[in-house]
Amino acid sequence: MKLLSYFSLSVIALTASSMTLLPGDAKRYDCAYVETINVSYEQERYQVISMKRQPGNHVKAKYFAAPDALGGSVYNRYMRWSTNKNVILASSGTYMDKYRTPVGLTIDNGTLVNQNLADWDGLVIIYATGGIAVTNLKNDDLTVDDGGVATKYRIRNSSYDLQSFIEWAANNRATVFQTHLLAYKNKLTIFSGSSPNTAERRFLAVGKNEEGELYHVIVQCPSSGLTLMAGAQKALRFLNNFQNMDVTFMINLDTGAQDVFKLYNCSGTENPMIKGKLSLPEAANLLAYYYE
Amino acid sequence: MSKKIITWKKATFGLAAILLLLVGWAASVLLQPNEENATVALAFKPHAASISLPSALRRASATAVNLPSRFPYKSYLDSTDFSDARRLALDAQALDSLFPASAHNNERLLYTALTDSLSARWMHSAQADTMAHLLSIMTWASQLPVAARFEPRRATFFRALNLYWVKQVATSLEQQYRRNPNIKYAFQFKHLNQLCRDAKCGVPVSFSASEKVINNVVEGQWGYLLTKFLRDSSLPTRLGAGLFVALFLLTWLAFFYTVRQRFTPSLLTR
Repeated sequence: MKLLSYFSLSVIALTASSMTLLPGDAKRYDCAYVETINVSYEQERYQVISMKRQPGNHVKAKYFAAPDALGGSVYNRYMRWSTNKNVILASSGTYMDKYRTPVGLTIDNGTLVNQNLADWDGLVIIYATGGIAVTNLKNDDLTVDDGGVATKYRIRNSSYDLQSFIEWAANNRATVFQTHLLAYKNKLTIFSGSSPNTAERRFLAVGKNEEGELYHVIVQCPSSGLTLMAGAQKALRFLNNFQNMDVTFMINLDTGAQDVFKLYNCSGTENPMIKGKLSLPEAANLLAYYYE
Repeated sequence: MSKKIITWKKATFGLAAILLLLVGWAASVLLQPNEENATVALAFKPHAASISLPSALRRASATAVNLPSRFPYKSYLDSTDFSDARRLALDAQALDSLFPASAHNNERLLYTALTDSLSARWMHSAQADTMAHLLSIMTWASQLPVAARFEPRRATFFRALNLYWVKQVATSLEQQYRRNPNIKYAFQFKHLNQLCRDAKCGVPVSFSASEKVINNVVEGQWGYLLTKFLRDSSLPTRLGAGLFVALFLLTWLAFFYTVRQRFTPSLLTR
């Protein structure tokens, strides 16, 4: 009897310790800031995660693309970081190549990962405050604050400007990545002639609702028969008309070779509404949202 | 009884001829002309006598305002030894001493001369796309980040030059890859792309599903292939694969059984 009670106690202790000590598993956030819905609109199903930035900017974004100094993977870095964070979701960011390098200009906290500019127009800048801004490279007006001076870089047309921007990013520990810009200032920026491949689509949109509140929204179109353009068109229409959202920008998240996505409830348990086909270690770059 | 038209002799001869043709075809595909031996004359060494940049600028009546239009691009490019990064630093210094108020513009001007103007020579020649030419450019460009370390004041200039030329090589590789996707298997392409990747400017190449399988087989990634198959394949595919493996094993078993029956001396003949 005594032996049995010792055994039961040790089982309980082990389970409890594994539940609390596993990195990235102790997540808890204010439910009022995050809303998940699963709806049908115009014969298309949408799974949506709306994250409210205000008040207090408690919901923040963080991006990982560079291995750590000891050569640890992006996933390991994410896991170490997430130990003390209330993670809302983690998703793949931009596409990766055969060598598992994120495609397009990628800088992680000042560390250069890839300096080969891709053709896509979306350059995403993630600030240390957790905010996200996107610049349309087609406009060639990337402007950043360089020591109190607004400096313009024409990174697409001049390697000198691109190099200067990379140095600015290194000095300011900036985080940047490039991806398809699907909508900008409420207008579709992807046109016919884009990839004919069909797949399930996942987008990140940032914009304001009717009350002028800033939202970061993940939209997933689970139907696998959508081209990038068709998916973007539908998602923008859905956000404009169903969510009444004024979309500042909408970018694509990779659902191909690194279809990685993990969503948590405010209680810290995993939410299966949107789930990537692959596990987090498969991602070459990770975009995480957390509550602080 | 009809007369035998195909004799063993003829059949063997025919098979040998087919085999020879196949070997010839395979050799013609595999043994591409060795470009490494081709003579590539790169314009790294000056083909004109060295000019003094300050005297040339004085002769051209260049001022800080009209410098971009008066800069002697042609004679400068003809006479500069690009293989020596220190030469470039000295030229930038000479420009600064002449026009001290516009140091940033001087650097940008020299950058333009060594990129746009030089590119017109290096990237638009008949040999611009040859791998040997691109490799020479990469070798030259690789010294520029080193120069940036020794000349911290001109680090942006040297790194920007390096970035420009690495991107030129990467763009050329990408264009060649788009024209002929099979070039991704060529050693020289892979080597150059690796150099571009080391410079964080690699060209993304894609592989079809079957090519990925072959690549993993060649690289001996059996564990990955099995995991990928078990994780991503549908039930009919798994059943089909199981059937295939079963048929494969059965065929071998049948073969071994037949061989054993044919060649094992029976008890009666012993």
